[in-house]
Order: sequence, then structure tokens, then C-alpha cells
Amino acid sequence: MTFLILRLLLAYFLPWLVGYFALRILDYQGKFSRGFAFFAALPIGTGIFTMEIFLLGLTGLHLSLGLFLKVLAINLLILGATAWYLRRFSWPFDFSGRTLLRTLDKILLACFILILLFKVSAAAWQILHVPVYEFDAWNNWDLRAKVIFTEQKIPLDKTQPFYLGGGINSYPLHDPLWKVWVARATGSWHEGIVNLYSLVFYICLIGLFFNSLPRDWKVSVRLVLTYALASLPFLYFHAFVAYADLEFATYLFLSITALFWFLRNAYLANLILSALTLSLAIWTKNEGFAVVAPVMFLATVFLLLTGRVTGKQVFGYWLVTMFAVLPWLLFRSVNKLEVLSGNSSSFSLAFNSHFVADWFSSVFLRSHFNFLWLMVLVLLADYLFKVERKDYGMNFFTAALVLLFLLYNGIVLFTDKAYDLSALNRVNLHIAPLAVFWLALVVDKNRIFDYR
Amino acid sequence: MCSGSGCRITANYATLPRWRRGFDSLHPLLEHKPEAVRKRIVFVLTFSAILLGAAIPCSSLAVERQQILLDSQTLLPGWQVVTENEKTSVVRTDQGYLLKNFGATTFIYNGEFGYRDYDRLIISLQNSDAVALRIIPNVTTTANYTFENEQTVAASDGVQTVAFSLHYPNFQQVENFGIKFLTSGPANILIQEITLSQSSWAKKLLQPLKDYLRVAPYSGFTVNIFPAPRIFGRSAFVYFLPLFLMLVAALFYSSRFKHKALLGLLVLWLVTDARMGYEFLSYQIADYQTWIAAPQGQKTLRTYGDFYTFIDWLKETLPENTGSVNFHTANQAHFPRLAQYYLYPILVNPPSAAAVYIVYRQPKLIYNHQDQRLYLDDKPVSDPGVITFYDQDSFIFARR
Repeated sequence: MTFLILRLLLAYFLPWLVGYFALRILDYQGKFSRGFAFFAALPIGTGIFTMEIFLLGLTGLHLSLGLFLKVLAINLLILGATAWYLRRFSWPFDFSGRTLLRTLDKILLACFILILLFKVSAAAWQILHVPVYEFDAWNNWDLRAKVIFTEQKIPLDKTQPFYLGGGINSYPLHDPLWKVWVARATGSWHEGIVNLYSLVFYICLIGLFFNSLPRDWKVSVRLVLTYALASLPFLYFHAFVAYADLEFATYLFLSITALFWFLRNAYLANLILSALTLSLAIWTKNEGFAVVAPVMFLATVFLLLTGRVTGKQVFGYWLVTMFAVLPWLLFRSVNKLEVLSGNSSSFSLAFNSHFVADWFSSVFLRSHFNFLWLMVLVLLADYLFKVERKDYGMNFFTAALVLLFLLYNGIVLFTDKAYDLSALNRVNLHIAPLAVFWLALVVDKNRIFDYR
Repeated sequence: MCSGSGCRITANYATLPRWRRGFDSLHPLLEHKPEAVRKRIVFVLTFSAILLGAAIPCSSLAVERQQILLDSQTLLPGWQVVTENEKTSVVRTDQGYLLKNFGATTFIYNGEFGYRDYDRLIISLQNSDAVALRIIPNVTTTANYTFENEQTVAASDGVQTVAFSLHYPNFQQVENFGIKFLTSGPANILIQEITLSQSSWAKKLLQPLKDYLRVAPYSGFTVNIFPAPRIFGRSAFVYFLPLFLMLVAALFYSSRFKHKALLGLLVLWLVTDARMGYEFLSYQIADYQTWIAAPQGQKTLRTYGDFYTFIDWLKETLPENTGSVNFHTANQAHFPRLAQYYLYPILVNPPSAAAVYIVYRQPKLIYNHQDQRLYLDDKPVSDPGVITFYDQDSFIFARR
């Protein structure tokens, strides 16, 4: 058991280190906080790692433990050496510059940690002791991972039933390949062990959220807002369900907030980070390519036209995005994979009036997101009257959130692609962290409370 | 606006738009003579409470209006019994009606009413085995029931009373309703009494809380939509909406009450978090009881019964070198695909028929001990083979 735990920790630590070195190299002015780098490292590291494995898998190579370790070793060598050479080699565990906490902060922090510990423990117990039950977990994500793990390669024969692992083979392989790695590193397929991934991403998202909030805000305020995110019922529920929606939400959150911060502080590293995490969102779920990429494209074009970004920056942004996810995009294009999960050969507009009442109830009145979306609706109505043209960061964030909300929910209400409401809350889950972040920004902007 | 000591004019009050003065206009009123106004408010509230108390007859707090539909002495006309199994029987006894149940039996009552007439259904019964009760409004037409219309009753030696609230949209007005008795195996159920009743005020006040705390069963769709919490069959937050809107308005448009409004919103948020935390914990407790702590042979998981136990049995029992299997079940359409995930690399239902059959709860596929073949609808569908039973309807059959 101890050996298993050590192997599992190593399975997470090595890709985390890859992501951490990558972030340190990117952060040329050292502006990313240690906390941010700590929590962002794993999502970035796993994304880079699984993309490399995918590339190697396409060549027909056996996905053995040795291969995985070699890839990681080369990554660590190159990135570690580069970080060392650029003198950006610093550990996140240096506590010499700690934030002073007031009594209220300490109490709130203690409460928050207790609540989080309870939630995380309960979720871990659930994942480790109860078999996979949810449909997409055993029919898609875990199935593909298990097939690839068992075959020790990515099945590339289209005529076979388990092409790309079976399941919904139009979906990217980021999640399944990560699970293959964890199973390989721990020595066997144990679905509880591999599915801890969702919980780890939940923790990463919470940490990222806290560290993405303005650092001059009071710790107590940041803690309350972070608690609000952590306690979203549907988001927490997905921490112990082996789906990829929480991972996708994390990448999307990183991408949008990084671009927001770039527009606020003109720090190029944020722009590159936004591009990189957008590519990883595309590498995680099809919505990244079908929904998010078009929104980000529109946003970058608009920012270019209004002079907030230069042509070079936009070009660089999309170059990074496309380059990072090019293998997958090329592969899906050559092999004519569907754009969404079902048949995307035809697409027509239709008003699904029978969905409207349930849609409204699900999004605004039920407990999925507490009353988050109602608050967003109310504040949006107020915000639109107070828009400051020159606050490009805030305007971008608002526009991105609204557009994504309208697109996601519009597909459900106004197209023939939604056969029922099964995807509704999961797509709103993708943008829920952004909604909480946006709420925090708007309340600060309106000076309703003193955050500082 | 006011003068003298003790008055405080809200800064910039005069410059506020008219509609915004509404909240802040409380300030001058309260601050001019706070003590006198408070006393008036207390007096009005107390007087209203007395009036209200006097208006409600004391009897309504204790006695509920009711109609006995069925007991050992009474059987109102309009009852029908529909059963899925011809072995099921219903016999009148001195204590009530004895239902010898095999599978599912529905007692249908034909009578028009709505929840404003009767908002509770009470069933007194004694059952030898666990029985799932389901109340189905308009059972002969729409049969639209929800999880609030279902309860599972454990086996008991004595009589137990089960109460169902009917204060839900699907019982607003019904022409008939059904009471479905579901048991996993043969069971004796003595139905002593079935009564419709109108709750007292005390029970009416308590019902929203009971509804709010009621946990929806974990189904395959829970990963997409949470049906709970609900009050009277509607999303619970609908009833909190006026409070929410007031708090939001106070938060953004009242400088005096904004901190209290924020606190109110935080409390509201915490209430939902606590409620949903309770729901998730309930799922885990249920999983622990049915899957972890249950003895081998009795483990079940949510809506899939003992299928996971069956899968574990298959992994241990399937012949070595099994490459593919034909999977047959009369249950969930998902089961072959779920089996495929757990049994991979063994192929389930390959394009060409496999030599091994897996049968899970498919009573139509029968093994003939004499010629050692499988039969479907009295026709042989396989060559002779060897059978290993999981239970009477579930087995592995391997062709020789």
C-alpha cells in the first residue's frame, strides 16, 4: 500500500514538475505568485505530457512505462536546464515572504481548510470505494483509458470497434492518456486510483481561483469567494465523478483569466499562458474547439481592432494555441472525426420550446450552482449601465462570459443538437468558475465593499 | 426633513433618484422616534398574532379531515387491483387485505380529488419483506410520478404506518391514482388501512421542511441534473426568491443595509451548501450500507441492483481464454456496455456469435437440463454446453 501511494505521488509529481518548469520559464519577470504556479503546474504539465504521448502513440509505439518515463525525463531535462540557465529556478515551497494574516483571516482560513478537507476526504472515499457508475465514465473516458492501457497502444484501426479506445472516439485523448499513465505508473488498472484525477483538478481549480484574485484584496475576501466556488454543488459533485468537465473548466478558467490579466497589466506571459491553456482546453473536450475557440477568436479580433493588442500579439497567441494542439487538430481533420459528440454532419436551428421551462429552472432555480447565475443576471443588468469603455480587461471578461453562456445555452435551446437536457448543467459548469470570478470583479468595481 | 437632536439626515439623500429613496426613506422614520415606532410595531404584530390565533379554530390544529378508502370493515367502491404476475393474490381477512405479492401489483382507486381536498395518503401495512411503494396520480392516463411519490418500507413484524404527502403539482387534481407495491421476491403484505386525509396546520407548516430535506435517489441522470431540493414539488429556491431579490436590492442600493444583506446572502448560500452537502453525504451513507457494509451476496449499488457483484462473479468464473461473450439481459439496456468496460479485453456481443453466453436476469433464456441447450421462446438457440449458475435467471453458458 505504501509503495502504491509513493508510485501514485510520483505519477503526479513528475508531470507537475514539467508544468512548473514550463511556467517558470514563461514567467520572465517573476510575476506569477508561487501559489499560482503551484496550482497551475499540474494542469499544464499533464496537458503537455499527454500531447507528447499522443504524438508517440500515433507512430505506433508501445505505451510502456519506460516510454512514459523517458518522455518525462527528457521534458524535465530540457525544461529544468532552461529554467536553470535563465535563473528562473525557484521552488514554490519558499515561505520567506509570507502574507501576514489578521485574526479574522486566520479564522476564515481555518474554517475554509476544514470544510475543504471534509469535502476532499469525502470525495476521495467515494472515488476509491465505489465502482464507476456514471454513463460517460464507463462508456467513454475510463473505457478508452482501459483499452489503451490493456493494448499498450492507441488503436488506430478505424475498422475496429475500439478505434481510439472506443467510446466516443471524436473526443480528445487527454483524459484517457493521463489515466493510462497513472495506471502504468502504479502497476495496474485500478479505476479508483486513476479517477482521483477529477478530485485533483478540483483542488487545482480552487487553488488557481484563490491565486488569480487580485493580490491586494484582503485574504478574508479571497477566502470567502474561493469558498463560494468550492461549494458550488454541481462543481463539487463532479470532483468525484470521472468526467472531463471539471478539467475542461479549469483550462477554460485559466485561459480567460490569463487574457484578462494580460489586458490589465500587459504582461506577455499571461498572453502566452492564455494561448497555451486554450490549446489544452481544446485537447480536453470538443467544446474547446467548437465553442470556446470561436469566442476567443472573436475576442482577439475585437481587441486587435480596438487597438488593445497588436497584430503581432494576436498572431503569436494563435500560433501558440495552434502549435500546442496541432497534432490533435490535424489528426481529427485527416480522420474526419465529429466536431461534437454526436453526428455533426448536419446542423440546423430549431426552437426547443419544450426545454425552456426546464432550462430556466435548471440554470437559475435549482441547486446546481446555488444562486450564482441569478446573481450574474442581476449584476449584468446593472453592469451594462455602468460599462467603462476603457476597462478592456473587464469588458473582455464580461463579453467572454456572456458569449459563452449564450452559445452554450443557445445550442441547447435553439439547435437540433440537444436531444435532451443532459449536457445543460455540465456546459454551464464549464463557465461557472468564470462567473464567480466575474461576480467578484464587478462587486469590487462597483465599490460595494472595501476589498482592500 | 426633521430637526432637533436625534435626527440624522442621510447624506446626499436629496440627490438620490426617487426610486432609490425607498430604502433609505426608512432612515428618517426610524431615527426620528425609534423607541415609539418600535413599540408600535411590536403591538401591531402581537395583536395580529392574537387575531390570527383566534381565527384558527383550535380544533384544526389537532383533528385532520380524512376519508378511509380501505380497511378491514370498509372498501369504498372504485378499487381495482392490477398485477403483473398471475401468482399474485389479494384476500380479505379480519385484519385487512392480504396481498401475496410476486413482483409488482397496483391498487387503483378511481375517485376525483385534489391536494386541496386531501393532501396526505396514509397506508398502514405489515410486510414480510421490503416493499417499495409508489403513488401514481392518474395512473390510467399520464401516470406522472416523481421521487416524492416513492418510499421503501422495510420488513416488519408489526403494523407500520407510511404517510405520503400529496401536496405536489401532479396531485393538483386527479381522476384516479395507483398504489404500486414492488417487491424483489414473493412477499406477504397485509394492508390494514388506506386513508386520504387533510393535514392539520401544524403538519402543513412542517411539510415544506420535510420536502426540503428529502433526498432524491441517486440515478444515472444525477451526473447531469439534481432534482432536489424541492418544496411542494417545485425547486426550493422559488420560495426563497423574494428574499433573495430583497437582499440583492438592499446589497446594491442601500448603504445602510448592505452589510446585513451580504450576510443574508451568505447565509442563504450556506443553507444551500449545507443542504447539498447533506444530500451528497446521504448518497455516500447509502453506498456504504448497500455496497461496502452489505454482506457478500447482498451487495447492491444504486439503480443497478447486484450487477456489479455479478460482474465480479463473472471475472472469477468465466472460462480462461474467453475471447468474447454473448450478453443477454432483460434489464437495463446499459448492462452489456457496462459489462464490456469491466470485462475488456473480452469482447461483449461481437459481430459473430461467441461460444460463451452470459445471461443476467433474462427469464426468457432457459437452460434445458436434458439436452443441455439454451432455449428462447421454446426454441433452441445454442449447441449443448456447460452451465454455471449465479442465480436462477443469471448464468454463464459455455458451448462444448
